[in-house]
Amino acid sequence: MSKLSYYLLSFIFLLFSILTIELLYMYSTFSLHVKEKNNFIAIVGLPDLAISNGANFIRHRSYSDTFSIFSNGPELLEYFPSTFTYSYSNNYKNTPSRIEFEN
Amino acid sequence: MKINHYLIGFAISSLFRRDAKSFFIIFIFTSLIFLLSSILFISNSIKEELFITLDSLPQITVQKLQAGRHANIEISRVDKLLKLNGVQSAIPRVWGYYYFENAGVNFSIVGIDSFDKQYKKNFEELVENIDFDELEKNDSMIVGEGVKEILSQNYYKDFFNFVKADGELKKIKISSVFKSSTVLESNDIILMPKNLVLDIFGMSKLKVTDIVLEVANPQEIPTISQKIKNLFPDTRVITNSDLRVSYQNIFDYKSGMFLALFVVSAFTFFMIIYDKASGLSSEEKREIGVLKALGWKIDDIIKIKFYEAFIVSFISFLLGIIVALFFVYILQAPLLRDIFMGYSRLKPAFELPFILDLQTIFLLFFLTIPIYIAAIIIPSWRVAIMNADEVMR
Repeated sequence: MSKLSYYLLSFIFLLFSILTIELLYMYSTFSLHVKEKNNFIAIVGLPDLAISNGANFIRHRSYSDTFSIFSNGPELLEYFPSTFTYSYSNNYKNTPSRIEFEN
Repeated sequence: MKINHYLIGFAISSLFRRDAKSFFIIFIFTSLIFLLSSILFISNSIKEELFITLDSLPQITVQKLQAGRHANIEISRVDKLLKLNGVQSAIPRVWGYYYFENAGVNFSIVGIDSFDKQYKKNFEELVENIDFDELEKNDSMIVGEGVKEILSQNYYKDFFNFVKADGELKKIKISSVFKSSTVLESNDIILMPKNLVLDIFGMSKLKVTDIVLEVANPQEIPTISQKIKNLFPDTRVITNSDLRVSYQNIFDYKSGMFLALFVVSAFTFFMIIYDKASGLSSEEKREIGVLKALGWKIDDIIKIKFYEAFIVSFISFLLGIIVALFFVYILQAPLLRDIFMGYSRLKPAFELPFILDLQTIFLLFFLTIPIYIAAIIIPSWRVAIMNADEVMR
């Protein structure tokens, strides 16, 4: 094996090692706190993440606004069904939905 | 098939011979993989964060609609809902938004029956330094980290004066703060006893915001929703699967934005590929010609080209993934995260949860590496099947 091949193989090996160390580090330090989060949601009972709350219809979209998510969004024209919080599910309007549910 | 390591050695030397070009290709390729995988990683992490709590959300929420808007629902309906077969429990809830003008943010105020013992165990895990006796005696609340921070900035360290519906002030003590592990869910939440919420919002004691139902058999949810709809035609029945669809929708929208990014970068990549595939440089052609003249077989030449392309693309791919993981999960994706966060005065300082999404990695692998290799091999093969003198001429 030539010197260059040896260097290249070592480099690829180094990359793999870095990737492994990185993944191990992340697996050991990050934890999802699934139980705590579920406990919290069970008490509060509200959906969505507290990422954005400048307007109340953004925070709990599915509960707050009756039809659409971005009713004030100037950059996005409303179109069914993508920008709508809800499909017209048969629970809601007694009409068949155009969104297919995955159960 | 036996791997000829002399051929690999030759491929590596030829890569080093064209070092500037090889490094440039590796740089571009790495950047592309980095950009695509970072966005996919962020999206997957936030999605995971949403979906892990989906099962804890209410199975059925009943809201009243009046004149096309959400209105408060009569508490007397709870008893009628409880009489429906299959309904295990029906809990009236009081919650709403409190706009804090000084900071321009909305807090979500949630009322609970009282700081009961039933919650005690859950609370001990969620809240730091909780004193139950004090919570019950005084008017006090538990707030999210974001709320605490905004209030402190406005000099409310231990209490907050809510402006009630009639303009009077209601002083409520901040008893504790939710732990930071739930910050993505709890950042803007204020939790306090129900009677205080009713007082602040000036709501009638006979009405609540919505009613949450628990159903013994989840398969009955659609039937029960239908029954509620028939019983109270003015209600909107939101099931757990509606919430799932709503979550999915927001990601379809956000994903649409990064799809635009994806298309631009993929287009650039394919343009480079097209440029490569449309013909080799005269230098590369001459190299193949010389090899043929020296007696190399067509498949040896193709093998060399394969090794070259594979080494370049594989190293770039690994580098791209390593840098993306570092950028997203250790640096917490500065700049790119804002695509998903949007504008908010009350941004939570959260950690993106680490999810190793193998599907994404494989998708990127098969979307980029085989195409790149093909774009190298096909023109080389076209040249290699010509006569050596024709190529070198």
